[in-house]
Amino acid sequence: MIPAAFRYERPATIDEALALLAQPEAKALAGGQSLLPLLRLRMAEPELLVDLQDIADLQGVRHDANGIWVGALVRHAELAQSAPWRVLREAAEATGDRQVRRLGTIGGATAHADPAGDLPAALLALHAVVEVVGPGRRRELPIDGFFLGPLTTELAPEELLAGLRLPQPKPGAGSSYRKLRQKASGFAVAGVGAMVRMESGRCVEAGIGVTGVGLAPYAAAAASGRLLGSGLETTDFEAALELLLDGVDVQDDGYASADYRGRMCRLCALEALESAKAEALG
Amino acid sequence: MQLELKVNGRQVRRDVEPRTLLVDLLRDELALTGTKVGCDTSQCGACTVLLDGHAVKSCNMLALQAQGRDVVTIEGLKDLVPEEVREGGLHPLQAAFWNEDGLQCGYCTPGMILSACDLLSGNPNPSEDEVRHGIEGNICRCTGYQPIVFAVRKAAGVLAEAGIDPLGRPRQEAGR
Ligand SMILES: Cc1cc2nc3c(=O)[nH]c(=O)nc-3n(C[C@H](O)[C@H](O)[C@H](O)COP(=O)(O)OP(=O)(O)OC[C@H]3O[C@@H](n4cnc5c(N)ncnc54)[C@H](O)[C@@H]3O)c2cc1C
Ligand code: FES
Ligand code: FES
Repeated sequence: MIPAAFRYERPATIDEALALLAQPEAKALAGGQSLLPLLRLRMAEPELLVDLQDIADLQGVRHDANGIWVGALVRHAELAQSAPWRVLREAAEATGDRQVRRLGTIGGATAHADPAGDLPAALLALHAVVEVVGPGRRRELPIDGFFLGPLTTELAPEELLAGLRLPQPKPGAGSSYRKLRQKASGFAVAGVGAMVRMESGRCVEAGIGVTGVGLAPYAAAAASGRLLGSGLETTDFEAALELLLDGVDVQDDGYASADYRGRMCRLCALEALESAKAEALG
Repeated sequence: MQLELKVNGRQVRRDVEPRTLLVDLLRDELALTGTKVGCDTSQCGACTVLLDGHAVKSCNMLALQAQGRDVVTIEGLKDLVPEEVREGGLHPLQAAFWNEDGLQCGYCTPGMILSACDLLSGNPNPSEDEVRHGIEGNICRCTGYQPIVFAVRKAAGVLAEAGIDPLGRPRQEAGR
């Protein structure tokens, strides 16, 4: 199927890209792995596509005093190989298939905000910060609250997601991602990213990101809060899992009833937490 | 718009509409019909080609995204390896699919082989499970996959013996 006609530009800098995105009906193009299917179905009909691939300031991974910065254009395949957190490596490897991972980018997956996107769950578990650039401004947004609904985020149409800030893994930290795939599409019926950090046998940091379950990926803050100060015993996990779906409109569709999806979500969370704890205990 | 890229080692220049998909450039403009189209949903993998050595779905990218880059289709695969490594003129992966009955109708085969190529360049000796995971982006409606898995592992052995990866690079420098 053939997309509707559009103009195509390939800027070399963020400023040039922002100037182009200020034009009406302009859209950024990263790996194209979510946008191309939409264009071919003519569910998206932009007038201008702004291909970001040549912009050096959106590439690469940098470590500094503030932690780790992952450029928006870093591809799933690269994350799966060498991301600094296991939850990110596992979520990237669980995304789509080999070919999708070669082109798809972390910025695209975050900006696209698929309700069942895998990387968003990992980023939520890590309390990542989203770095956004717009005309004459730059803002940093916590990932918790960034996803507003299906394919909807805090990003304005004239803004770019420049990168994601992650904490540096400290001693005693562990993380993991678990997903139940729909057989046909491979997307998550439920997926959970988990991160914990232990100090002297107590949990001092925790994060849980859930995807595929509600209308958008979300941070299960009550559940991860329940783990703080605990010894991460099975009973602590069980108590946290009771809070996992609090206030969430668990989706009911042809792939899974709300009840089944909720159960599978708890199971994924338990496995992700156990695996994160095992890594934390080294 | 002016588009310049390398396809199977040859420099190609064309004037294309921005909305042209890479697969349409390959098939309709360059008559490289070995690359197939099996779906409308970016899921079957029949259109897989190598872009700078990595497997991508040519139905799910614009030709312009490949500007200045290096594309290899099934037609050009054998030229990546030295002649003495070919069997009956075929790349070791093609030969292994032939020998192991890794195809029936053959529609999925070009894409399957190019995905396997990407897999083997990162993992010279994949287990059966790793092969299955490695080709998850390619659907075959005929073979039941078993002979495909055998073929990929067979080819891995042939390439290892020749000391090269499927892109023809000596093993020491390969695997990036
Ligand atoms: C067959 C198939 C299977 C898939 N399976 C999965 C799966 O199992 N799990 C999963 O999570 N995903 C899956 N995906 C989606 C894939 O992960 C995409 O790569 C990802 O959702 C989008 O990243 P992209 O770089 O390809 O973005 P694009 O498709 O280029 O862009 C997506 C959207 O984000 C916007 N955008 C991109 N980059 C930026 C930026 N830097 N700033 C602002 N806006 C931006 C674009 O304008 C567009 O609206 C699948 C895709 C396919 C084709
Ligand atoms: S034709 Fe099916 S994935 Fe490209
Ligand atoms: S051989 Fe027919 S689809 Fe695979």
